[in-house]
Amino acid sequence: MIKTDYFTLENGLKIVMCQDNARKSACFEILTHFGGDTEGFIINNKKHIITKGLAHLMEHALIDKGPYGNALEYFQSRYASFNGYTTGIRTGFYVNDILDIEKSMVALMQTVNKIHFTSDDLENIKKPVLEEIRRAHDNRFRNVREANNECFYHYEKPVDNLGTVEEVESITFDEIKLCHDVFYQPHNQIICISGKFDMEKVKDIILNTYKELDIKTLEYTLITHDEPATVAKKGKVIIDSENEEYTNIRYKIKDAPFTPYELVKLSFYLEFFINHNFKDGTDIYNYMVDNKYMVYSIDCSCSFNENLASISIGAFTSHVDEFISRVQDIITKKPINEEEFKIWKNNVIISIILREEHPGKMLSPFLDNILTFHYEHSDTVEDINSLNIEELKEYLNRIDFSEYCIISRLKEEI
Amino acid sequence: MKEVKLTTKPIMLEDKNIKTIDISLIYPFIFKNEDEFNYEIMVNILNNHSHYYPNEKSFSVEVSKRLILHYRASLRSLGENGFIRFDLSIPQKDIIPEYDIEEAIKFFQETIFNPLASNESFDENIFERERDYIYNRITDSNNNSIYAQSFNRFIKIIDPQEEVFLNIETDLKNLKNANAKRSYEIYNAIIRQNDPLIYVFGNYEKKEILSLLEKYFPSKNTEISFALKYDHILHTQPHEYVEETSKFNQTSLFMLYDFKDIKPEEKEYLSLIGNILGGAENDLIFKQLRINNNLVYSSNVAKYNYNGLLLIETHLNYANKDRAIELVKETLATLKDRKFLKNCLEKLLKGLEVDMLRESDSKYGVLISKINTDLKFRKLTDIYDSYKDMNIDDIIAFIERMNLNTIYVLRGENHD
Repeated sequence: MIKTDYFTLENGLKIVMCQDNARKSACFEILTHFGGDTEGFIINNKKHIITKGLAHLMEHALIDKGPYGNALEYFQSRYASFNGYTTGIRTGFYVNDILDIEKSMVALMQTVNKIHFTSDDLENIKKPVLEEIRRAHDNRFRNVREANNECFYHYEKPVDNLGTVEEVESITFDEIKLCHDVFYQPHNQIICISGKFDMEKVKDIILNTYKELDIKTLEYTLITHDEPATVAKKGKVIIDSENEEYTNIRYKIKDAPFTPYELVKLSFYLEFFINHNFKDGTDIYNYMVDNKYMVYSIDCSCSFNENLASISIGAFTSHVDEFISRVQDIITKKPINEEEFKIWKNNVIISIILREEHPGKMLSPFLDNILTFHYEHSDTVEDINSLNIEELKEYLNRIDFSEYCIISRLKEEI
Repeated sequence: MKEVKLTTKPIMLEDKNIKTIDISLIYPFIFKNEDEFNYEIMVNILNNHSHYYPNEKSFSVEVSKRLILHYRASLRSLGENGFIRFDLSIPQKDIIPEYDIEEAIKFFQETIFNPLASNESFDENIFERERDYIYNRITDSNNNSIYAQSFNRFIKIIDPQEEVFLNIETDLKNLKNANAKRSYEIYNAIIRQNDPLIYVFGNYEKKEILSLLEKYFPSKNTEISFALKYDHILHTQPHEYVEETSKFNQTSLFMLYDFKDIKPEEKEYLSLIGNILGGAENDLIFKQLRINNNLVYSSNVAKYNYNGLLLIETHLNYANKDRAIELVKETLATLKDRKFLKNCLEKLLKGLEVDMLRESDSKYGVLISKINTDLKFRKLTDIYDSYKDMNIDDIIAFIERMNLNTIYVLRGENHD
């Protein structure tokens, strides 16, 4: 039986727990709300703009030189699996341990929450990061993503969280330290633990470790910008004779009028709507493949970030008009098959029931609800049972699909 | 040559703690390189189409309708042995009231034995679609992925006769020659005319499942046998240093090691060395190249146990390649230190114990272990037992036979 809990400590640290003592291992993760897109902050009336790539470099630095030396080596020596990652909005570090999760937890909290590297160390730490940046430039989708961001956002959103070589080389120890002091505070973090562990004991361990760490509270104001509801540009054509031809349309949905719970439901409805209309075997797929306009599947994704959502639909095709016109037709008419909706619902219900097989399967969507939708509950069978076609149509009609951008990558000018 | 004899009676593995029932059917066959894409396209067609549900949409709707959590046809090859596998995962009966598991198993059987075919041939249109897809996948990947391109160019140098690694030109030729009739002929020979190995895993009523299997997958024989042809030692000509150029930013570095007079029965020593160099417990190459010297972002140690080769691969700045090569050589030299090697072996064994614990904690650990045992794939307990019994001096003697066969560098000109 999996027990879940979500609460906030006095120091502001949020904790999500999914306990399953039928398991043998446990996974412990610390997430800090600081990522590649964090623009800057104001502290003591002074404005600080964060150099791009800093959050990711910080992740490397904390791992490379922790209280126990290199964290990768340390956790490997404990036969635990460990890693860190940086996204646009968050940096995460996790450890999976089957032998002694309590010890690993403490070590991870100590590694993440205090700086142990020096200014000299930083120059060495930068080297593999620079290699990672070079590696990222070999990614064949890079120019598509760059163009996509250029058109979608009004501000200069980086294509990844790594920064450029010049930006990373320019980052100083003082800058990193200040960012660490500002963002790595308990009220800006969330801890997730799933698997086999003692709930009360773990709570005490977290409390005591943070007490010992004695992290100073720093008041600051985040610098953000208000991303307009419109796209920056309607589209862009990239001429690239080397890489595959590709077309993408991305819808920008700002301040969609939904409550947190409604957003959770919307995410289910969109999952159905997109699969139902764009995956293999659908009309648009068959049309594109039968006419030899494409060979691969259509790729679709939906993302939500605070009050901004995007729906992206793409295909490896140079037949831009043929593809886009059909996508737009679907978005306008919103075709839905009732029978298929019922079938899909039954499958989702089963997947919710099956989440109880593994605490990791339970934790992930619960965390997603909290972080993405600010909805502090797990999905239940009753929630899914309540989904219905009328509401799906109504929700889709509430969304304004008029803002979008179209990116094409072609081998030559048309 | 070893022969494997296995029963076609269903192997029933129960776990009353889970909420699903999994049925796996495995058909062993002799893999012929020239038919590689006849196999692959057949499997792709069987994955998404059947006679009753000829297009992807109707097929996937039917899968969902019958509450099938997962259906998949897959292909695996090792040496001259091939395996086609069909997996079905369905919810346990009590999850949904009145759930009819027979309908799911019937669909499974119909899909496997009534493919999208007529007149002794798979559907030509669908076959061509799949061929186009694979062609694009191979060529796009080779042109635009540094990992694919560097490996494709490397294998041409070390295996020009294509004893183990088919090069991209051969792949494309085999793809061109694949055809719907031949693919169907193979399907008949492997699937229709044989009994599979059957594994059932999960939470079920034994009698009920056995009776359904008897109804939908009745066995003609009680035993199947096949010769194990996994091993093929590749004796490759040494190349001291080969450098080519590419359009990419990064430079790829491959260091290939072979072993003097290696025999198939010595593969455990090769695997041990590979695990010490690249496995999490010791991770010597990564430690040297990244943690200690900050030369690379990542590295990989590939063990070709059945071919007698060990490959160290990384991607880095061209300016650092000589230093990286030196460090790899130094790392390998440390393995000849008795005390150091003993320490590495102890960590490796402890790591395997932990891995076995993790395997027992994973949902499909029991099923995976059973299948690996039957098909004579190496499983964790086998690896552990063989390492445990190894003598340090024997390991060092084996390391002494290690030769740096080839250094291959694909220089990234874009960065330069």
